[in-house]
Amino acid sequence: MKTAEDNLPKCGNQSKELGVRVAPNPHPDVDVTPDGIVELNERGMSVGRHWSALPGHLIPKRLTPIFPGATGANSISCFRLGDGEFAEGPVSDKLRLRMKTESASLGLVVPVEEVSIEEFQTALCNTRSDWVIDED
Amino acid sequence: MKHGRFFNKPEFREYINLLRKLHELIRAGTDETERGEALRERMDVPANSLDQEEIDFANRLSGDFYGLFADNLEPPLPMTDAAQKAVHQALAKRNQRDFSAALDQLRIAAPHFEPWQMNYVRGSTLLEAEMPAIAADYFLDTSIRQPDNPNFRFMWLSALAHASPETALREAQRIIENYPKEDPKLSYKAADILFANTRNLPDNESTDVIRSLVPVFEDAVFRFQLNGTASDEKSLIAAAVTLLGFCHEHLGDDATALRYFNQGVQLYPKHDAPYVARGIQLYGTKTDDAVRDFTKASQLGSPLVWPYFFLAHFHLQRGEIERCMSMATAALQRASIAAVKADCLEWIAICQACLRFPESTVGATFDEALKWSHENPRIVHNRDLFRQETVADISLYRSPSIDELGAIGRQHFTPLAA
Repeated sequence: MKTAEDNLPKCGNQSKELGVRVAPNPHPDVDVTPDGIVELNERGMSVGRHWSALPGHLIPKRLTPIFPGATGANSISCFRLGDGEFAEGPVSDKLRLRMKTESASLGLVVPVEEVSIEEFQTALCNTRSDWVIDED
Repeated sequence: MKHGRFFNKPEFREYINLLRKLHELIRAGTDETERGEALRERMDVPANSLDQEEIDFANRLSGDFYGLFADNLEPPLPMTDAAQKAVHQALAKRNQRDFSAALDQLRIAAPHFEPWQMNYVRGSTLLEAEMPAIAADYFLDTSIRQPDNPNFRFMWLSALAHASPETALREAQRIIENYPKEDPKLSYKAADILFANTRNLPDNESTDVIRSLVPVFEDAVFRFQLNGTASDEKSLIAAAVTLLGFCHEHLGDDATALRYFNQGVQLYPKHDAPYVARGIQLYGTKTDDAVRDFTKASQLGSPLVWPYFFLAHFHLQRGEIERCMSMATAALQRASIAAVKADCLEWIAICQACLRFPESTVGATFDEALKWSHENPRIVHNRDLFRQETVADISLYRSPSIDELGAIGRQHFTPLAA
């Protein structure tokens, strides 16, 4: 994710920000109803068990000595949230981790219940201080 | 490889093609830009459809891409049995079309081989996997590392012709400008690309280009016979002789064209291209001779659509339904041109009608034919004739004339050499 000056992830609704992209962004992460409610479906903020489980374009190039396929911009960092098991369950009181189908390494952070897109973005950003840079 | 995964999955192929472009930017030092970020954002979309195995494989492939055009690579380690075995495994996996496994095996062997050797095999594997742009990168890398071996530039130009026809055309024009000083294999390939492009030109321009290619093909054929290519790579010279004949045919000199086709058949009787070319030329004037040539080409296992296509038409016109059906089916399996697919499906539908297949089957086959050639009046007529009267008499259906068939064959035929 993009790193803010305080070494925490940058909140926002653009690519590689702590948040989700929404239409009219050409690559939305979630579907939103005309009333502004996030649809609870197979979509959300993508996360991985470990940064090495991610596609290489999301891993900064400076890590090529330990991860030869990294092609991400050097301006981004790999962040970790907590030390718990990477499994279906709560992330915060308003968010939960949903595993991607047929994958033990990839998941989506989604709302616990139907919320507006603004509430979802706020809930994601509220986890900001829990993320730490982890590039080992 | 499981069906619908890795190179059989459109999202995976899209991701790898975008990854290739990202590596181009990284090599140019221009990836940390808005353009680079836009490209990475585009990669998010296919990446979302990849499973963990595919992501891991794409990441390993990305690691390989860093070796392209790199000049700071480590010298090879001493050869080991395990490295040799891995290369054999890689080639076996490639031949089994398990391309991801082949590339993984090459990664095991890579530290023990020269980079150009590994990159050549990677290129040939990715070409087989129908990733010609990446294959072209690997062949270009190999040709730069081994500039004295013309095969690598030949393979590069061949892959480029599939990946980026406009770039290949520019390269071909540059090569042809100085063809006597180029390797004949390369000048042959460049002439082949320019010849194929004449289909996109107005008649007067294509005639000028084809006239200019005659001495290039003649020179290539001559030098192939001097440098050993004629005995080592017979399909290449058979294709060159055939194209030379086609040039003369386009220029209206049928006698010289036939002389070259005859020469090709005499010198390379186990290669299909001269038979097919001669068959196309003779179909309609000496049809029995043409049918013999097409039959011979099919017996040689020709990968080209044309022998089967013309034989299907021949049997259709003679009312030989089963033979027509068999040849049209064989042609359809090899057809890549929409009009040819449409014709094959139409003839299969006619045969099905005559063999009294269920009406729904025949109708569906006609409809499939029309998908490939919308509103084709002859196919529409034949379909309507069947719908109205379920006609089972082959002579009542319309079929393309010999002239129409000859025109489509001459327009699209290309011998396969690479």
